[in-house]
Amino acid sequence: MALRPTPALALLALLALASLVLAMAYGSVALSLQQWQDALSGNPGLANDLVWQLRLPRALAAFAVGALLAVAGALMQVLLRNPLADPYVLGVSGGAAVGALTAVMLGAAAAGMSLCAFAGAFGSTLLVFGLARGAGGWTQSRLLLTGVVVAAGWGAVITLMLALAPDQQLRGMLFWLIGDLSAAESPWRALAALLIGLGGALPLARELNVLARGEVTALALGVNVRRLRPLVYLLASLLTAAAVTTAGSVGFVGLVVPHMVRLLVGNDMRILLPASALGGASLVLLADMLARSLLAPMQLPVGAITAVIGVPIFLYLLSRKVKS
Amino acid sequence: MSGGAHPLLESRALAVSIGGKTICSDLSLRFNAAECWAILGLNGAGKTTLIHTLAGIRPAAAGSVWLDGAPLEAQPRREIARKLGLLAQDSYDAFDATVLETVLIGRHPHLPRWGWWQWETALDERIAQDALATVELETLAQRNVSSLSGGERERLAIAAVLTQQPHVYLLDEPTSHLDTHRQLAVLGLFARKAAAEACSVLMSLHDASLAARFCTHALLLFDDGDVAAGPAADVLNADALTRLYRHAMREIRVENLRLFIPA
Repeated sequence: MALRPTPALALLALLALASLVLAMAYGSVALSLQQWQDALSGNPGLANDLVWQLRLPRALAAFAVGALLAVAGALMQVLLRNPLADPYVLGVSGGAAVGALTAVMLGAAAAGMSLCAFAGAFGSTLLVFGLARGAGGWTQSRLLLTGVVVAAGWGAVITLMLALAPDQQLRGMLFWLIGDLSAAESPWRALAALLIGLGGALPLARELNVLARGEVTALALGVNVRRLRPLVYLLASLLTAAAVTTAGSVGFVGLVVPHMVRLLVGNDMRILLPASALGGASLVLLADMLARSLLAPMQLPVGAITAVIGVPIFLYLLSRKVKS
Repeated sequence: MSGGAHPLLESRALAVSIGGKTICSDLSLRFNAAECWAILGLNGAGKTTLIHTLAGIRPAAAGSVWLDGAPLEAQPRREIARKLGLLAQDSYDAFDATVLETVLIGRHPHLPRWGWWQWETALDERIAQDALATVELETLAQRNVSSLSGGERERLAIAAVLTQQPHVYLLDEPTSHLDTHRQLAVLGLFARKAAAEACSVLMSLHDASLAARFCTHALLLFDDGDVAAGPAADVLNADALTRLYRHAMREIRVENLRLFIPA
């Protein structure tokens, strides 16, 4: 596979790798050099368990969640031809949240919560998909409006659930809503979803470039728009569902990362998709490292950190764009 | 590819309507190689709708469109896109892209279907650069599309359809946003292309004088669903244009040019 070699892509790969190493190296407990040697050489002990049993799975989960959200964001933006679209704009995370919170209120275990979150995300996807098709064909504005309204509906349900929930459950529910990796059980599902998602999206990259030029042009250039759009929508929703199921609704990664990456590599989806994956992975890895170590031993929800980093960057990019 | 036996593009008993309005009800026309057609009509007469139907991206109410001797429905979309190019009106850009990237989009139907890693080759890039040079945009290849003027965007869209290298060109208002000398350059380009490269060109225009100057044939779309079609010398005259534009038109001759002006 001869990806056109771009220095920016290599740079992002290095950044993701460095973030992964940092996420393994730093945390609530500082490790000495000796402990690192123990861990790296596989000597059994506290350091070994900490690095390989705790930090590695969590770092991999952060990697996968960041990459999933950023790729889903890039796909949603080109699907809706709207630079303000993100993975959550069409109500996927709202549906997932209602599912997860229902599980919490019913006292389900973590596994049940993931299952309910996934069911909620998928159900919401199908709901928007069905409603937006309606009688006529698909249009970007109809899809966007349907999604936004469904998301608003989920928001109201979530507020009601929070108001009705017993106090001792509120903290867990809030952490889920903000996005939190401390409850992430195993990274493998999210990593598998990432592989499948990228494998499904990359062959469509050039068609997505054409679709970004507008529907009429895309049709005239031989792109099967009627098949491509639902496909991309389902793909982006599945990526989002996998991320949300692992870490709750981590904000701003899907919106901000594709924009940051665009500044580096341009808007060619063939590069933008893998670059977004690497950029998103790096951002969530670094944010989660901060979430674990800033107020150690207390853990902050990673979603709060991504938003704190994401909001000023996004505002900066937006103002820069207005000037030019 | 384009055997002499059949026309490049053909409408057979084609009926086109939009929102209950009939644009044409039984249109059977042959668009042959080396013919350059002007499509004239009032705003809302259905020029764009007809062009989209001929391009196969909008279903016909009845009848069929044939390309290279086979009905459009029987041909894969990508194969159609290698033979037939459409210049759409007003494509706007949601995301930044360079001029060269935008023109290279025209190579899409020529690149392999599976294999996203199949990038444009050096040849594709040269075709795109040549197209940019044709519309005098070659110095702007690395510019951001969003920084272009309206006329520059129109020329960019023309370069993209040239990069597609079809032999049937369907051009929806190729002269919009262009100043006079560039209108003449673009129309001259496509008239030459039709004659020299055995292409078939159909374009919607607003200026009957330009149509008479550059086109071999004309298709008039009247408000009432009636149609006049044929060689430009026969179809374009003051009476027909008066009926078409619902305003008295006069024909005057300046040297060998036929000019149509509102009375």
